[in-house]
Amino acid sequence: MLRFTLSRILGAIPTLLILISLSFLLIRVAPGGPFDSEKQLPPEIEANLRAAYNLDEPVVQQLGRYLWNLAQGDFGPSFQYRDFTVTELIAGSFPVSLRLGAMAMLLALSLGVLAGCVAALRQNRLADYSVMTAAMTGISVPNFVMAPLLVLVFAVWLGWLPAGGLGDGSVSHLILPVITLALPQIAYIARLTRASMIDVLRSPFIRTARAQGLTPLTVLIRHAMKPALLPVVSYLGPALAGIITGSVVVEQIFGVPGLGRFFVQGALNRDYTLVMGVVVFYGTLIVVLNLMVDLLYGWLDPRLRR
Amino acid sequence: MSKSSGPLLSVRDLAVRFATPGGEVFAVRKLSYAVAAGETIGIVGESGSGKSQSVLALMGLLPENGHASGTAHFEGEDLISMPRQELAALRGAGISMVFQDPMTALNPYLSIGRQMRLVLQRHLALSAAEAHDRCVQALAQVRIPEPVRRLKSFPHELSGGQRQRVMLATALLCKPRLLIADEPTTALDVTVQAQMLALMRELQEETGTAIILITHDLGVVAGQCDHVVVLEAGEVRERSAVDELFSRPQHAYTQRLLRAVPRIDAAGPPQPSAEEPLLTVDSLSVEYEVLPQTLFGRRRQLRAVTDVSLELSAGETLGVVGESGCGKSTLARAVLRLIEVAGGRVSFLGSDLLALEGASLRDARRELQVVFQDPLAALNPRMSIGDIVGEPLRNFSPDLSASQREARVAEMLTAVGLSPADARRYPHEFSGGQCQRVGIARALISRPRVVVCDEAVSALDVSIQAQIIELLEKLQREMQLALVFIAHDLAVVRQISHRVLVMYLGRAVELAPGDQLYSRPQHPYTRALLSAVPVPDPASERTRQSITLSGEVPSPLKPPAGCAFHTRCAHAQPRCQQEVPELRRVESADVACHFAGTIDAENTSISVAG
Repeated sequence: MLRFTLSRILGAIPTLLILISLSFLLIRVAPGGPFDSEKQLPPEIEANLRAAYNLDEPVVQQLGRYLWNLAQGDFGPSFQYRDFTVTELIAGSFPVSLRLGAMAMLLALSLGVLAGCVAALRQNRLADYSVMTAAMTGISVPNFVMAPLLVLVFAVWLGWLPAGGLGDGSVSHLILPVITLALPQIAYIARLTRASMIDVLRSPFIRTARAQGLTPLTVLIRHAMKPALLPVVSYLGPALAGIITGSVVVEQIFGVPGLGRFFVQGALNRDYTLVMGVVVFYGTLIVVLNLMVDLLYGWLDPRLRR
Repeated sequence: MSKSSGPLLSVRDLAVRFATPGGEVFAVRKLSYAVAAGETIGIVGESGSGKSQSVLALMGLLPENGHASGTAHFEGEDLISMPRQELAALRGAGISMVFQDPMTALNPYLSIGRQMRLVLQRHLALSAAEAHDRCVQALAQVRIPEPVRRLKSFPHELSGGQRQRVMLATALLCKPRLLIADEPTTALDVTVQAQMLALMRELQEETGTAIILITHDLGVVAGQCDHVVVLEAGEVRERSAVDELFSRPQHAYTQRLLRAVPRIDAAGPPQPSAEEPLLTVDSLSVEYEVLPQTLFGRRRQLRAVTDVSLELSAGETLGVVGESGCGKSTLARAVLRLIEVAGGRVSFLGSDLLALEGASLRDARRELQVVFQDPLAALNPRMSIGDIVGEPLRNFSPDLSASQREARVAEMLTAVGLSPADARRYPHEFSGGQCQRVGIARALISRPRVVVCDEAVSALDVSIQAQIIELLEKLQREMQLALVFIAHDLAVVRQISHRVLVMYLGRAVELAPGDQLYSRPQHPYTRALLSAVPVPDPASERTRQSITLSGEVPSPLKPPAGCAFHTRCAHAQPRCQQEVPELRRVESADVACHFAGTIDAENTSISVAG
């Protein structure tokens, strides 16, 4: 298991290198630069600025410098938020995003698995069709449509929940963003759970469990749940990626000061180091979580343990 | 617990029907029988006879579209009309069940101890320690070595025989009065089957549990059952005491079935006139590479076949037998060049088959054809029967016109007992036996000289099996075919083979003419194998001296040193652990045993099981 973990970590390095290099080049290809603004800077000042941030070097050399600093844990200074390093910005805003994302993930998993199980047990009956229709809707409606709709209904018409911002940091401010983020994932997870649960419930070992007189609930939870969750577990990686990309939009719409919002601002302002910092941070997070998913897989399926 | 002195279970007019889109279909009609405590009743039938559905109905385990009617009184209470929850409480406690395939019937995701404890939690109020003791005791009862450690194992860590023992132990946990065993030994090798059947008999004597044994194997019935119900297409054909059934079968179906069953004590086919060998295999070895278990681990070689030599003449059938993993299929595939060979020589009509490449290899394949085990899976479902059978012609005789090809296909389909009109139909429209006829037609249309039948009749019911074997024998006579007939069923091999090769862990242990091998087996393994085969005759089953082999076949990744069989051999001497025995001639057999010819046939029975 240790060897497996080590080999996976080593294998992640090239992935991250490609990710970093591509993003590094892409953001530089984008027109404009970090020091463009409505008021034109005098050319010699701009040249000084560029030199100060090493932007006058060839791109490959800049990339090398960036990687070298990164290897020492230095994300560099932000171009836009002049008094902050990228590390400080991430450290300040990530907890907000983490709270949002973790809540969305928990909601997606619990509701998705529950709905999927109900649909599987009531296969081809009303409950099944309702869950599947709702799931299809959840998948089809994009978050930038869902968010304003939710705000319209729950904030404007009903007045139950705040429309945006973090306010005093109470949970009520997070409810709408969390739901918006979680909805498509709930839908995917419900569909996955339903399909695999139906499959598992047909397998011979479930017949054995029933022949042993076990109650339907015991059969479902003790015998069927573990194998039925395998596809859901392998979807956790993509689900995380979905929630991260979703958070970029959702934080923007609801005005939540999270990492996603910094990412959008950074991209608009051509804040090269900030954008790169978020890319590296989230990229690493996804790689690490995928590794954890693989380890979880081994725990769920004893045949994969070595 | 019994409320009356009558039978434990009394089934009356049981019917099972299924609602299908095409209307109601009856799986079982008017089935009646009774089982007393301590008794074993056999329910026998071919596939589709409704034998499994009839017991699933008792257990309330029919699929959702299934419906049972009639009565089944168990200890005075009717199982059919009983409320679901009451029936569920009885399942696993009063009545329990053992299924066919222990790999899929045990939950691969839960440890064995976990699965057993769930049953105890459901039915008995035991403390954790008591439950643990009960599980250990149950595993020990079915002769699982190191039961405490085994509780932590997962099903995939056990061998097939051990898994089925665990199944049985779990079924017996709550001391049921009735055990239903649905083809409990069908997935097991014959020596392991013998261990399992002996174990079931012993446990029944100890506990007095009544058993309903569902099987297609009349040999198993003869040895295990007191009474037998014969089912065909959901209807009872015959119900009688076991001796009665075998000595004086009343119904025409039973008589047909008994005639169709291949018997190990029957005579083999007449020997063909000796001819020059068509195919010569000389110390052939095959290795598989096993992927390393760890990142920097070494790749290991698994020797699937070691130094096997044989000859085959036109018109002759060579049977190849052995338990799963003995390398019999690998040997066949290597001879056909379907897999790569690690060493040795294969020559066909004097030319070296292993040296052929590309077009010349393809040409040689016209002469060497194969029929596979699963008749339906081996046919492309998207191709018509005509295209499947005609494809070898497109390949080997591209100059034939379409109409000539059609004529040859029609001729071939007729030869295998199908109609030329079947050419336009698709595989799913045919039964298993018919699909196998298509498989044979495809193999024979290029007019090969050697045909390998790899478990070609194993998936078929006995009556169909008999037809296919008859067909193969007829075609062999007409076309002077040389057949390699691979099977795990020794009785079927007996029926068709002129000579028989017995394999164990990739090596040839005995090669002899059929009559010699079956009447005077020389190798201890051959003897054990033959003595483990149940015979469809209750009288000889009762007196049969069975050599029960201990344990199971070792892993081919770690074959024992010296004679591979020494770990299970009752005659093993120190020499057997060091020296690999060469094949040598004893009577008319070639035997790989240091002591062949010196072992007294009377002195072969040992009684240690497990």
